[in-house]
Amino acid sequence: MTEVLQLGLDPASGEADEREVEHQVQHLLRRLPVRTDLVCTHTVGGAGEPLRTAASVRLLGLEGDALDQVGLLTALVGLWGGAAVLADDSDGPAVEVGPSDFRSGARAAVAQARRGDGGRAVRFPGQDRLSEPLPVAEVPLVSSVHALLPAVGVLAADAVLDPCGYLRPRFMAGRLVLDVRPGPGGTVVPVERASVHACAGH
Amino acid sequence: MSSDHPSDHSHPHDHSHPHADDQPGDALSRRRLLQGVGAVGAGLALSPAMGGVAAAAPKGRRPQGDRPGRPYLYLAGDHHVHTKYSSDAVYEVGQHAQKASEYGLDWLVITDHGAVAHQKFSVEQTAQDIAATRAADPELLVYHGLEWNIPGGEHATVFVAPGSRDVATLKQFELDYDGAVLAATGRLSRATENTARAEELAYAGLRYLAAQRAAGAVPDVVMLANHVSRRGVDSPHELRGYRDAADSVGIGMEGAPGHQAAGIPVSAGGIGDDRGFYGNTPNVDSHPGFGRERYFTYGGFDYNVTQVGGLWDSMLAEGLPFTITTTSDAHFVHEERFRRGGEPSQGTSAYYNTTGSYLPPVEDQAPQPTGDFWPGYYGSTLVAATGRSYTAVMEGLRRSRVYAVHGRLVDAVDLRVDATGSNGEKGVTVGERTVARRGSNVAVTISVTLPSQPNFHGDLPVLAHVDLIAGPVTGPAADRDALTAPATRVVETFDVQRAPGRTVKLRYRFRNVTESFYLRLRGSDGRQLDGAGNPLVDVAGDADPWVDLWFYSNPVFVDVV
Repeated sequence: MTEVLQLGLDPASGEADEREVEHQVQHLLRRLPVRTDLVCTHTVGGAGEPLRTAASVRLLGLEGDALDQVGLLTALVGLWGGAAVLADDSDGPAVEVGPSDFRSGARAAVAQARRGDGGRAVRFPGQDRLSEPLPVAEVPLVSSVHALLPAVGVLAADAVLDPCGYLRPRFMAGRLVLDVRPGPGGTVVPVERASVHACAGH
Repeated sequence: MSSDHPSDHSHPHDHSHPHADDQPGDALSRRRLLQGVGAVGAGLALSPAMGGVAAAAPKGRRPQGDRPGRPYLYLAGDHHVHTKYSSDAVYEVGQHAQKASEYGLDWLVITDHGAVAHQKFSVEQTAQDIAATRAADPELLVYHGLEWNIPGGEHATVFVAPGSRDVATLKQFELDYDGAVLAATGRLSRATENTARAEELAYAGLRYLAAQRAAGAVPDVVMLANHVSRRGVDSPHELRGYRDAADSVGIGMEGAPGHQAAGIPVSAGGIGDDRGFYGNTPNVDSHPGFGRERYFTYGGFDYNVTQVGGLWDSMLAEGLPFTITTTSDAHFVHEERFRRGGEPSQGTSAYYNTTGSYLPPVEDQAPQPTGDFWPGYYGSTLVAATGRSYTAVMEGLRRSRVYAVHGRLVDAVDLRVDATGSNGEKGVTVGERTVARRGSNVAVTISVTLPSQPNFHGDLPVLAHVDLIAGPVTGPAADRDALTAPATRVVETFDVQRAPGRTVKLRYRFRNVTESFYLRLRGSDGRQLDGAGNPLVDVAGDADPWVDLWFYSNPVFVDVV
């Protein structure tokens, strides 16, 4: 399988915590023969019901040919519950597995991923090149993060980003942006942090 | 330094006549007076003009208030404190009471987290401990409260004045309306779920409390939203909803959250977290209309309050008070040595869940860096009360006769607003209203007593400036999610650096007023300001609270007729 597919996952738990969902998805992906370069969490639901968190995974391919698409989704749902949706870039019907109540969340995650709007990236291209402090101007040169978005004030052109070992950029209008804020020592740091001690131990 | 007067300011005033004239301070003598009433070291407890009179009054003479020129007692307190009856805390009620007295507080509210185990096991135990603490120190007002998980919202302090059915009222309220209890029993998906059904449960809870008060079950009960912007789950319409749901129960919010030690850098012995444990990102239940700038503290205060013309101002522009305060939110205190008592298994949440309590704490650890200060150590909520009683303090809070002060930046503030336009200092004070004739002048006199003694960090704070902020009263908000009041401005900035212990008088005059307005104050040590005199965002992991001190007043309303 060489085509790029979007996988949407909606856990049956109605889980709201995006960190919990990303943890579950990462765990899931380690157990399946898939390759991916982009994993996102998405807020789905609404219309009077509590919002919840779903996930999307951009699949670059399956390792080997042990699983067909239905087999993959069935395995996912078996491991996780909920529903899974797999769609290619066409407007044709997607492959769906799981209770209909949750397919809508998985479909919404795929739709957001296709639009490039609303996803919060857990894994993204170039992530491994953002492990050390670097000038903010270099960030779009070495990664798929298009821009840094200061939550407060303006971003100095010569500012240095300290990634703090944890980056969760989000999609806005088809591009990944990273929310940043003033950090210790005149740096900028991601607004979302894994652990304060991982970054602020100065 | 004087600010430019914005030309588009909607209530006309031309020139102010600010000046600062030093007066000999007598804070020390007042402090000695205080020592006689159990508020040793407070330094914050009295209004310079009025409080000394009240404190020195013969025993049994009830100080008068609620009318211009009448004396108030300024009583310092903290409405947000956790004990071993919270799953994430450690101390005894009595320890907090002892520390609160040591650090100058007159009143204290015990607010352990709402939870199934708390509702089931902790409420009576807490009541017993509070009764013992009241008996041991009759001068300290110790309230029984709850940190309510507001359905669909943040946490909030709910507390009652002592009464025949206070424990029963708290227990029933927690059982029926606490978000964590509702979630645990399947009535909500989670405490913060952002749905209409959750919000309606919150308002119903407030109406329940009001009904209990009306029925005489409790002499009084109030609610103040806590750490309001921390997660963005208290939307503007919810804050207005708390205010409006029930008569006089939802009275305000923390203007500054607790956990003020959390931003102390690791290099300075802190935990290097976010001041106030803010610094979050929106979650699925956050109000979608909130920008990411709101999720941080600025000079230790909540963005709702620090933004001139922001959410709080948009509520005040409706012509209604909504009291702001500051608290400690003390769970584990910075550099203390206590741990939970008993075996390790008895210090776990699993243990708490079966008992609603931890064993008495044991002081055998190395000093631990944490995010919290003891009650009164850093922040004080100063309430102008008509007497030293449970109900008087609550009524002062309700009426917004309140200043929120960090790090003992000021010993006392006395804001007076005189609608006769004279320079009289007998006008109404913070939290009160006055009526001015259209076209008349309104005189503002601010008496600030500068600190004469070091704060509990050992620093003698220097008040650098006071801002007078004002905005028109425009009536009920057409949009319940409104979060700006564009016409609210800093109308004057006073430079007030003077000798320690002195009382500085600052004057301003609104001339030819044509429409109703409100005014309020803020002041700082001036060390961390932007170009417009606003507080800076608190930096992640590098926000020493002792070098960024602020005070905020609540408003005075001027009704122009």
